[in-house]
Amino acid sequence: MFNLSKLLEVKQKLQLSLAGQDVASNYYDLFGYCSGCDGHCSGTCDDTCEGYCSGCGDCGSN
Amino acid sequence: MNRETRQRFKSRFLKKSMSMITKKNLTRGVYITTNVTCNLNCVYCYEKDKTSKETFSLEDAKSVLTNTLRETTTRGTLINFHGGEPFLSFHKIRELCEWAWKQEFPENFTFFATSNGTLIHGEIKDWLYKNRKRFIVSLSLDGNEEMQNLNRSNSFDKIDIDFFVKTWPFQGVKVTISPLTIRQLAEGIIFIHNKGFRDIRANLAQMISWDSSSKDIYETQLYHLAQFYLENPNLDKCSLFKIPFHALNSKELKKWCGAGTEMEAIDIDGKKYPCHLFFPSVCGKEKSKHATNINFREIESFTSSECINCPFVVICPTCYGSNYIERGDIKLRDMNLCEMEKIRFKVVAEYEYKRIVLSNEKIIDIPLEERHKRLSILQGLEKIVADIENIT
Repeated sequence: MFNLSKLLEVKQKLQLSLAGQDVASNYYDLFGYCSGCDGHCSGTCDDTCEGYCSGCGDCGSN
Repeated sequence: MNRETRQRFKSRFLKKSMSMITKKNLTRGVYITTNVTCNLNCVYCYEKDKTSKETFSLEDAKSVLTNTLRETTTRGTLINFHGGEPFLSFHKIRELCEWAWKQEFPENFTFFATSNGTLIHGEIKDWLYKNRKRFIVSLSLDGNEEMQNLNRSNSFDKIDIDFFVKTWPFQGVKVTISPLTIRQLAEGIIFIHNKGFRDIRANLAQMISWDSSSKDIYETQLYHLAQFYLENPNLDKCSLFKIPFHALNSKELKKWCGAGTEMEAIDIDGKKYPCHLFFPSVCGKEKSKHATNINFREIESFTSSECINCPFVVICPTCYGSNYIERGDIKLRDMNLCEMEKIRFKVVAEYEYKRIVLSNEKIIDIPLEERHKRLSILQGLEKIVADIENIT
């Protein structure tokens, strides 16, 4: 399924396109704003009222 | 990066920094167990005892809120009405909320309830709509009509689904997949997308038995859904497809939620627990009593020796409360779900590969933030390609 060399090629293109750009270098900075879940959630907690687990389900809870 | 994006980053950075310097930055949730009764009997329900007719004490609830809300936090407090079906106690809920809104508590607070939606009509619906900005309701809806009826006591026709979409457009919907509904998983998720929900939080039911035949069905259904998302790239994917592959870059083991660390759940008697699953009403009195001894900060406490060397451990979700209830230890995952999760990692990894690597988009046309996300995903995928290909 995976063509690793193709994957690496696209990765390098993305890296090059981001060189020198003012983008946060840590992915968690994009998504890790919910306390506790560190980006494992859908990233929408702040937009609703759920800053903590109240059944987002990403942990698998019913 | 545009100004708006920069501002958003700044505010998030600020929140992260503050969380490091103050203990006040707990994500605080007060749980009020309104009643344990429910008008439905869902096939996967974890409530141990639904027979008690007892409902919460208004005086106790007022006392807990008075004590809690006089202390401020940076994020505010979420007051979660927890059932059973909480709206069986609507009149008490309304009285408590209206009392709280009249008090001049220094803390910001919002009321919240997860509901099966079947009672939200007439008077209750009118009141919720009027107070929709300070009382949020999350609907549990398990897919299309047949799925909902199979899992949740023939309740589809009793829910005004559009009301939830229109009243709380940013609130997620909770979808639980059971062995009875897994054959329609893709259809059910697409149905919910078509209903207009933006944030679909789907997961396999825990604390129930999954047999090996479900694995192939799950895989087929996820491939259907992957195809749907490839054909509809602008849709916000359901949570099954939001795997944090970027986390593979650090390999750092993190907890999956704030239970016992960043979050505290306060039961109606004022006692604090790691989360609501540790309440006596949920995990039983004896287990609940011992929950306070658990050290949630040590990796060894929340990751088992069986899982710690798994290449997928940092992307494999788990619910510590469920683990504790079912197996008596927060780190002991449901290994019944292990194979199912690996199937999901494989399908979603392939989906991401197709979406990012086989895309015909020109990089120059992709926004910077999205480029960065894609790069992080590919960096993670690169590390598990061989392991993914070994998943059968």
